[in-house]
Amino acid sequence: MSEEKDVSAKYKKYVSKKILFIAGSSIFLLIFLLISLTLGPSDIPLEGLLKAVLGKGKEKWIQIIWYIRLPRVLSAILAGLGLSIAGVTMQSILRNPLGSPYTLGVSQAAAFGAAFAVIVLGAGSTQSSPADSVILNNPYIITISAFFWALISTIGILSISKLRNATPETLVLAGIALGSLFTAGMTSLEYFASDVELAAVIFWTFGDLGKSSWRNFWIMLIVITPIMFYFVKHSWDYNALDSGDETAKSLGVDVEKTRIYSMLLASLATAVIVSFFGIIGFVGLVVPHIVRKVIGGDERFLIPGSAVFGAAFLLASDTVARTVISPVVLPVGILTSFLGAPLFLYLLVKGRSYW
Amino acid sequence: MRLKAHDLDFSYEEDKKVLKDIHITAEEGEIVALVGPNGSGKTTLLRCLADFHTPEKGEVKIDGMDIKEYTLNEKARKLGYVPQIENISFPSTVFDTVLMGRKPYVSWKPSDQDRRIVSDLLEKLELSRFAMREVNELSGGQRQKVFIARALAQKPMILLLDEPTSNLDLKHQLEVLDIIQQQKKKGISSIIAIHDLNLAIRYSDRIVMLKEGEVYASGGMEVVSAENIEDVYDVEVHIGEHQGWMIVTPDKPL
Repeated sequence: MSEEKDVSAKYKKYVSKKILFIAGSSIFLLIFLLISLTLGPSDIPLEGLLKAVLGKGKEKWIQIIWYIRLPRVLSAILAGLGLSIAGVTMQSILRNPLGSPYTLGVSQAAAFGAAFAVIVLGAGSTQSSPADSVILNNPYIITISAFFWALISTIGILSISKLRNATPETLVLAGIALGSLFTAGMTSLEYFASDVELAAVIFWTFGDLGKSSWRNFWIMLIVITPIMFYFVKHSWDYNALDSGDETAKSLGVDVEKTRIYSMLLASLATAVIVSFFGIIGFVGLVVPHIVRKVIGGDERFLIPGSAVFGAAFLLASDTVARTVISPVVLPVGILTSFLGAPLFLYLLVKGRSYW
Repeated sequence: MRLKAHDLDFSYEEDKKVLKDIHITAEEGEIVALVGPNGSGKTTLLRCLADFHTPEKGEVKIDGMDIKEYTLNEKARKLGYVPQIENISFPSTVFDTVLMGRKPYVSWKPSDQDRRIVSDLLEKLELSRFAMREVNELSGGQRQKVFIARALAQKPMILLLDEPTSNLDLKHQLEVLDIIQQQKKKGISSIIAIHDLNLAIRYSDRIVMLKEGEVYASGGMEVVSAENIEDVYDVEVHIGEHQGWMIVTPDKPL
């Protein structure tokens, strides 16, 4: 009896550690949020920031905070969150530690779709100022096209995963093939682009939060929030899937349906983010692994944990990217790759039981 | 009748029937051993009984109702399935793994009762001290016990086990089968695919012998006769007796 109580107590402690990690990451995220709002070409002290958020104080600061920094910072949070939960879910449903929007070619397909919308469907017009050479006059077409092509890549991955002899390696190789295919598609589109279109299209190849706006933020919020809820609600199904399809079925999981819906939703989240900000690599791959290393594989905590940690990761990266060699603003995708690739290599070498 | 399947036909590819006209039943608290050589259809039959595969012909009934009429969760509360090899992509702790067996009863948050059921099971199966270890750090025998514990956490009426003793050392083979036998008094029926004929004789109430996707013989221990084994396995055997148990000793392949 005492041992049994002991086990229950141990488990409770184990779970509360996970909750502590999520709470701690959330606090960090809040602190990052405040810090990054104060940083920029014109430093705004914390006090001024708080006033400006409430619409008081210097008019210039109000403008900077409300029109430039807030949408960008909030977009970074949402994009980091979205890519991370897409990565976590893809890894679980494809039973593959190398799953992520980037490694499976979904990001590249979405970027191709965005470029396709601009160059072939004419979603970009060129009557704008030299500072911003192409105005994307129809972001909806761009997003829809991005989703459509991401969908094609997703269906490709899903059909390959259904082959009877498909191993995790098969999927990753297929992802590389699809990724290269769409990158090549994008390069060939660039040949047919005018100079101004080209400038716009290049933007998608390396993620940059410079195009964040309140409108983009709201669209992302509306798309990503329900997806997040769906993923969290199904976290037990993902747990069961981590033990294999047969086990999941015997536990009452509708394996096929869960896999298809989850994959489609993960692709939708990716497509929206990529169509606004371009390909931001490694976030969706590395964040789930870091979080899994800290709090373990239970998806009930892994998904929210990755969401918060991913948000903080991208926000921190973007803040560094826009302040490190100010006034030059680096695309955040460069930074996430610089941070993500070595981190990933470290995880590979350090080894994990599931490699 | 707890479980009743009749006229089952199944094939993975056209014109290559893996199961033909299978009849199989399990009464309350009965242990049925499925024996037969590799490729005789044991695993496929278990998969049909678990409703992973839909047979082309025939039906599977649980407590008198067609298995297709149960919802996924209802089915998971009736049937526990322990696969031969668990393909874990991301390992979790023993406690979490067994807790997963409560999934058919839980929507998102496991209750105190769910946790109690799990810690009870871990204690009964002598797994408590591994509770916080990751499943893939355990030995094969301990791991098999964890997966059985998970199936038991489903509080099923029927257990389907695919070669639960293969790859286990002697002690764990006996431990695992003892656990299954202990479930009889709760009325849980088990259908076990098993290679070891002596263990099948010792632990089961009834034996169903499969050959090339068909039930070759079914019934009590008399099924395990020298003629039947020769015919089904192509092996010459000697049948003896030791302390009241029938013993099958293989002689040579035919």
